[in-house]
Amino acid sequence: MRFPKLNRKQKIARNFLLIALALLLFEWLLHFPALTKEGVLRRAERDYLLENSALLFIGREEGLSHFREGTLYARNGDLLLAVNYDRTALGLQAGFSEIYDEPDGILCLSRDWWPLEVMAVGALEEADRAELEVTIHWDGSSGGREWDTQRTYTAEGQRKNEYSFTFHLAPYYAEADNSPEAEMERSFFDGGGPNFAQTPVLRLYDAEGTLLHEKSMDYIEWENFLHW
Amino acid sequence: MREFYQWRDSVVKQVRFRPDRTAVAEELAAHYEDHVKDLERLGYDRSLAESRALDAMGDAEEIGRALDKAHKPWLGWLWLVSRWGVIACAVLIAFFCLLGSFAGLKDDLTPVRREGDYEPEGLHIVGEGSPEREDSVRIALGHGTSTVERAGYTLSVPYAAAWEQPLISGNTGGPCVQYWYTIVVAADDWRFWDSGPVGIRSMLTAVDDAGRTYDTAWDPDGGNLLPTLVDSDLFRAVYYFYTWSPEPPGEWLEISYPYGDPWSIRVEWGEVAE
Repeated sequence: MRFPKLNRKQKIARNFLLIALALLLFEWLLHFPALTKEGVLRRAERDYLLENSALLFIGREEGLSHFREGTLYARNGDLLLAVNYDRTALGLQAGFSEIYDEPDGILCLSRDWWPLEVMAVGALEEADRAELEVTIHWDGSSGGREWDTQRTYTAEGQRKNEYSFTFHLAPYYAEADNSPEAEMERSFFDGGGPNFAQTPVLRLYDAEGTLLHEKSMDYIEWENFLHW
Repeated sequence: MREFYQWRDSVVKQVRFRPDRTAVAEELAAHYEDHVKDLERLGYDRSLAESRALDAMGDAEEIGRALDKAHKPWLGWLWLVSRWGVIACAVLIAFFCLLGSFAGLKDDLTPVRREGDYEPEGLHIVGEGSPEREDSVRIALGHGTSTVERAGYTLSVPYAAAWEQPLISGNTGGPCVQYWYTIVVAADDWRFWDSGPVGIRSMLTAVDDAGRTYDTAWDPDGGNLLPTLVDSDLFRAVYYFYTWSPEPPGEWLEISYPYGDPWSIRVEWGEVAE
């Protein structure tokens, strides 16, 4: 069977059709990445059967994340939604996402290892100042040694934007200190934080210093799992 | 022949789209040579045939202008870009084929079950030959009594089954019965680029007519509704869940999702047809 000879215009049309089909194939391979961050958010909220989520901010600017390009934080009623995304040649590809059910609309996540960084996200527009207090308690024994010690760390929040504060908890003990308290602290700051009993408390104040809201938590969730 | 080359060069240099000049020159030369040969066959000697053939080619300026009109530069560049685009795409596709990247796309094109028996080979949570599958008998079937529209998806429960497995109690040593429950939740939509509401796998809850509750958070004391299989094509995703209980199925089981615009779908248990 002989195919009809095509003129130049017909060949151009044929070639662009083939290119479009190939692009569709590549899009499919990349799970149809979104063209905008808003698109990433819409795709992720549909994963949880949500609609009309409001984008709050980008938690990690593109290029600065350890594992992913960026993380979007959004709000849907009392729910907070965190969505990773990567930039590909054909758009933004959504990665792991998570929703958090926080009745007061505020979420605290721990971020980097050293110094320990905590981010408070959500209904923080009214707060002028924020303070995070974390009491860690270490109770156990090993190799004949016993520990029953605790320490409280307090950090003033740095406002990042209308919807978030970050807190940097700094170690107290010197590296050469071998006391049980110092060992506990090193383990906590070396990434064992999520394994410790914690009693974190977030306090929000207005410009006059009046306490607006106090949030007590069982523990601070670890944001890094979003980036696996 | 020299005169022809001069004539040809003055024609070709008027074609603004340079990449086509070689092909145009070859076409002109072929036409000229054919005419020379035809004249030689008629008895003309070589030099006269070449001279006559050159005269018949026409005015170089006029021919050049006509050829330039036929070989528009913008069309020519578009043709080159499209050709290299196709070649680049073909190379990339070959590369991804070698990597086996397209294997997953076959799953997208394999249609997901839309009706019938969602456990044709028996209890789905275990493999062939396992005692749970060999010994279990399906004693009740059901499907959702309604569908729900959320976030552009149509959600339904197309299949639910209760399986009865006789066991020997580890405590008493006597016979007892374990009941396995399979619930399949389906999400249909027209957005082929969406992969389905995967978040519901960890968020569904259930309650039965006896007031027993189940959720996806693991509890060693029971009340677990655990996600297992996921199967999807471009327009449908089905999520399998299972739970177990020492109690037989009652009248109904209700599946719920608490977030966004909360919804529930009730499954009423019926007998298995013979």
